[in-house]
Amino acid sequence: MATAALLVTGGAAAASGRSSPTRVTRGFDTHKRVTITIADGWGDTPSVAAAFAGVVHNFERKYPNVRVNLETEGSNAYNEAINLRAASNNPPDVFMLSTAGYGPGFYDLAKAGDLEPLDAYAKAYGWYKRFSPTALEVFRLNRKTGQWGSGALYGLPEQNTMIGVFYNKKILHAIGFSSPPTTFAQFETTLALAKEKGYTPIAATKDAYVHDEMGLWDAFSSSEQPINNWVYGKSGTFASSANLRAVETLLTWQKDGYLQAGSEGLGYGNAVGALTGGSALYFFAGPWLDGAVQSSLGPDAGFMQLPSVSKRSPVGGGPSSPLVISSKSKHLAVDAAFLNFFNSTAESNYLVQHGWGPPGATVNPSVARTLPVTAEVLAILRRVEAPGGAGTTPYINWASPAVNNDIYSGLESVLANQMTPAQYLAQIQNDWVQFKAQRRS
Amino acid sequence: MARAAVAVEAGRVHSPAGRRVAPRAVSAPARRQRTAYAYVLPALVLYALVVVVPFAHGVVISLFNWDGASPMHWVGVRNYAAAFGDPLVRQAVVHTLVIIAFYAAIPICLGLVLAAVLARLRLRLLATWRALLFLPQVISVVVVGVAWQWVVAENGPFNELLRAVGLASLTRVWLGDFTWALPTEGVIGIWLMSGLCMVLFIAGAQAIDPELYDAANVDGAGPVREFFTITVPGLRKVIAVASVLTLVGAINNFGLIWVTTEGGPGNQTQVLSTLIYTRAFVLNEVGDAAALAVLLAVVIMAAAIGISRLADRS
Repeated sequence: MATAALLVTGGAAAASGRSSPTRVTRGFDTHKRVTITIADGWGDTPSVAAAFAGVVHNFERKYPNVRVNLETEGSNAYNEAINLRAASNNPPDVFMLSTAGYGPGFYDLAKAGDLEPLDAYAKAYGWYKRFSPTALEVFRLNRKTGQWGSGALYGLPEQNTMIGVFYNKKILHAIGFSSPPTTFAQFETTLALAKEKGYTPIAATKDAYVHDEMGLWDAFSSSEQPINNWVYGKSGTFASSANLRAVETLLTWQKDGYLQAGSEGLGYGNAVGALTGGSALYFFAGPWLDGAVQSSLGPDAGFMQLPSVSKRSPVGGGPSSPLVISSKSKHLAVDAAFLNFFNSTAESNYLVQHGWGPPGATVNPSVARTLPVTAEVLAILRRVEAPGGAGTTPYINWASPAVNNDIYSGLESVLANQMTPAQYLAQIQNDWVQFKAQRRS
Repeated sequence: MARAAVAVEAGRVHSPAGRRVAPRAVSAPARRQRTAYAYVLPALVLYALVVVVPFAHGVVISLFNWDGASPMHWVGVRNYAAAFGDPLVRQAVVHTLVIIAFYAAIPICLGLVLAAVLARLRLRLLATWRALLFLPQVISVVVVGVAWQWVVAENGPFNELLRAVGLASLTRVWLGDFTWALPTEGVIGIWLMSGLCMVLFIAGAQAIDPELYDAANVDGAGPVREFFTITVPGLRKVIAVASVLTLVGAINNFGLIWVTTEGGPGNQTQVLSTLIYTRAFVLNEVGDAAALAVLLAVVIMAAAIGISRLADRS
């Protein structure tokens, strides 16, 4: 392996006081012994943690002079501490964040100059060819204006966690459908039929009502633009007619008994259990469940985009859990090489084969085909991201830290008739307005 | 280093105490005090490092506006002023008071009764009963939370029981219900804390002079009168200890609520500890959270000192 030292040609001073390179070359000194620390929060899901550790191990095997100190923790413990650790004088060199945008972590750390801008590495390694531009947009931030979605690139997605609808083909057949519904009206018909036959139409939990809202808001929209403008904090309103219709529909489903009974008191695992145990027809979730659903339902497992009320609709979620580099790292070239390695086709294929779901970067189609649910996810992505497609919308709870908090309690209140859909939309819009004002001050 | 230690040791051994001038200037009680402090010094240093220093750091953070990553901005006592005017904080205070009633007041009363009954009745397998009632204390709070979530779920044993006795109309998802979530958390608290109080009281009751009960018997006192005139006054100090333990447990109750409801539905089970966590780690308002945490620590300390003083005085 050729030695290619980091080439620094100048750059703006980062908040940490160190200058960031604006042009770099690929690779690093492969003769010098070096240890880097990588931190992740996958500890709660051993199979996913093992897949991540596998990539780290492959990296060490490829570069024997690099030793990786891998720190894996459970999601709660990790998220509690990562902000403070990343801002401290001894941060991990490379670490994951659980959200992007204005959700907790990404915005504060990028704004404070704790994250290394990656544009120079993206050019050197050709990352823009491996991701669609919108896939990386969610990891951009303009530090001067505080605007998310534009400016420097600060992370690469670990996964594509697009929200769709898992379904059980066996139950669909039992209610007389040989293929999944293709219109919204048909979808609602399947809900009524499933209930009639004693199945749970939609597995649901208070922890994921937000995914139901996202699916519905997208289904009632024909373009990504209005939703994206709002989530990115640029313009528009949460109280749009499409979103009002989405929340009202969710409330109607609750009243009609289509949501899993007792969902207001259930944790996430209970809802997953209703789907994987074969008692629920649908569950609004993302490919992080691909492995679990595929292994429990086998050939009966299916995944689809919620049918749109118009001809086309965007999908929500998308690239998430960014891998970022600390601006205080002393081994930036090695860190960047790891990000490049993680998103290489070979390692993306490795991740898919080890139950990771769709990685952030492209995957070999022949590999994706071996896992039908993941293949369906990728097919939907190809359709919406193709020219003329309706596009993707990020997680709506990334619009501000307060939105991220209040969406959960707000939806619980709506479904318990403690708040009207309009009041809920007004509350979240108010959070958004306040955060926008705070960002400008 | 080793040589110096030997020299000191040798000096102490070989010098007759009367010849040493300096120690004579110090009175015996003062010397005893110094020796006592020397013994507790390692613990004090450790305590300072893991409790006092972080607490002081928390006080400093509470005077700043800080998101945990960006530079801190000095705001003085504004975070404290904001806490007093915040309706969410006021709501959390009310919920915390309700939790105190369930975690401290009711378990102490129940513990007293249980202790009196178990001490009086010559139950078979007394030790087993005591162990069973104490069991909730030794189970991890996460396990307690998950188990209770299942007990009071839509199709959990509690609702099944209600259905079996013809009270199906009362069934609900107890931890997801806006009215009943907080009382349900409270009931879990009673289950959790009563055994602890009972064990403390049984231990305390053994120190009460049995002659007092004999005298009461001679005077014709029944079990209820005995309980109020001998047992309760005799357990005064133990009740104070139980009060402090349960009160602190109630105010600091975070794990159980976080596992079962995360402060929901809406904000119906949001107590001060969960609010502090949410502010610090979900909303990244670390300064606000630190101010609330300092206030809470002061209230807990004041309550603990108040209870101890009250028990001493009476």
